[in-house]
Amino acid sequence: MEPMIVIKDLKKVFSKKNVLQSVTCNLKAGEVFGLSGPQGAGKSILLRALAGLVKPTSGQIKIFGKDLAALTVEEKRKICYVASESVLYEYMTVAEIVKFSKGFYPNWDVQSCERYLKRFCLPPEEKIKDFSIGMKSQLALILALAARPSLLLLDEPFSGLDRYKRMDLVDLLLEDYLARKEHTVIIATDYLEEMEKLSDRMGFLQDGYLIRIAPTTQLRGKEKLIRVNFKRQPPAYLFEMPGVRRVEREGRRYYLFTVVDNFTEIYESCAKVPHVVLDVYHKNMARGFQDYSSDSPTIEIR
Amino acid sequence: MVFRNLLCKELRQYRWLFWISLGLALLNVFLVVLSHELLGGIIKEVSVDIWEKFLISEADLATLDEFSYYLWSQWNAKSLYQLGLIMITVLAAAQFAGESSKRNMSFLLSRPATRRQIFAGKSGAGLILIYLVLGVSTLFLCVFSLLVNHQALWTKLLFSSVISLLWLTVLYLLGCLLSILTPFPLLAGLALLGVVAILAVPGCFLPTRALSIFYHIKAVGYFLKGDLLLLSVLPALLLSGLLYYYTMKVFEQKDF
Repeated sequence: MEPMIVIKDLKKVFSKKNVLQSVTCNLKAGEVFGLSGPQGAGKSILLRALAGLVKPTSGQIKIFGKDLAALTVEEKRKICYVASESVLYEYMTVAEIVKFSKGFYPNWDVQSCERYLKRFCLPPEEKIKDFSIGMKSQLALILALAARPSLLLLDEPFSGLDRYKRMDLVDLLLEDYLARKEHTVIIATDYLEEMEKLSDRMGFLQDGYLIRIAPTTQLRGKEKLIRVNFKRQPPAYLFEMPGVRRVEREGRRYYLFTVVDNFTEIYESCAKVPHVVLDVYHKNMARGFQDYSSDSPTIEIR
Repeated sequence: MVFRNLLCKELRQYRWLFWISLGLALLNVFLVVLSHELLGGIIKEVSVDIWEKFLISEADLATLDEFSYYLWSQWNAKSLYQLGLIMITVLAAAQFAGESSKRNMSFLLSRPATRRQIFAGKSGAGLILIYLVLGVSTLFLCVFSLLVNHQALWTKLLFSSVISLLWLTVLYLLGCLLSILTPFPLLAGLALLGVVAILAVPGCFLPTRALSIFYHIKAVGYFLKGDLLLLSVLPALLLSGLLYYYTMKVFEQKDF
């Protein structure tokens, strides 16, 4: 079967700087592809190129077997792009932006749209300018999902959201959108935990190069590290929880090495202790991915 | 459906500019007609002696009735193009550079529509707003003048206004082009005013006066010198067509 997306030798130069260099990658229909990498690696530009917002300097992008530039409006209706920052018209109300978006999609899913708006408590009469960053991100995602696209391009969908809202978005995608395995999704994010839950394959971009692509199961860490700063004596039960392999201590700072399967439970127990500062690191990842994740924490909660 | 959706959104987004401009235009209509009622003789002397004497001979001037000439000099040669230029500068800068700077353009361009459709929707809405404000106020000028019992060369005045609108279309498309090329609305607006100032330079010298953009916007050739209507309309249509095509091409190629 021909891949849904074919990216071949894609190159983009901005002001003499190579932001994408020889990116080559194929995506199958129904696949969820996670895109990670440090800031400025070219994740957003790659998604913007796929959405047709930036023109490649050289190389080829084929979607649905056709060159991106040759897609008809009918085919473009099957692609939705959600930008990393708020790009919605702030003067509009929720109802107005829904009506405006609906005008582009004859198969707009009215019921799902209303259900999502209720689920995320976004009142239709409220103006977008009055929303928080998280609410704007949720609304942008709702507008994309209600269009029922075959290809969904998500650029940093979790930025500006707290842990619970991120979980909610992941649940929404898993339960409602990805359950049928009909839709192809590309997610660019640094929130590796969420990406691990969603993606089938992950790609790692660095300096414009796609340096590694592998199935998520291969890249997923076997062990995670939680760094906790306790202001007072930490409760002993934390260290005895199932899944805590070992504990190392540096003054008030504790390092909890946890098994991935028990990670969330241990993390949430740590977070319940008053006045703690938590950092999470992925450990024992496959080569290449580990280099990146060991440099910077993937999740920080203050 | 896509075009109508875009058109409605643009008209709604810039309705504030429509109402403000229409309010100012109608206020101008009142001032123009009422000024003539109160200060008619003085205004005629001033406008003929200072502004337009070098454009037209006394013999030619004699062929125009006093009120028609007064309306043209105060409306077509003053209020209409001034208001139009302000509207164009604000609208063109906000529609493209303004939306780029607020990142709204990414949202719009990721909708399932071709860039040609989006450009057509945006520029179409811009022109509708400009034509509505200036067209309605020109018609109101005629009606209000008739109400105070004045007769004028209405057909000639209306055709002069059509010429003005066509040349303002050229300026609007030029504004759109500059607004697409720069991501900052203020810079786009200033760039347009700068280009208009350069295009007006020939108007400072008698031999090159006919090359000034304002000579055409004011419909001087048609109204004062009796040039053929097509001579004023055709260049405006041709320039508008070329500018529309070129600006659309630039919009299609631009990264957002």
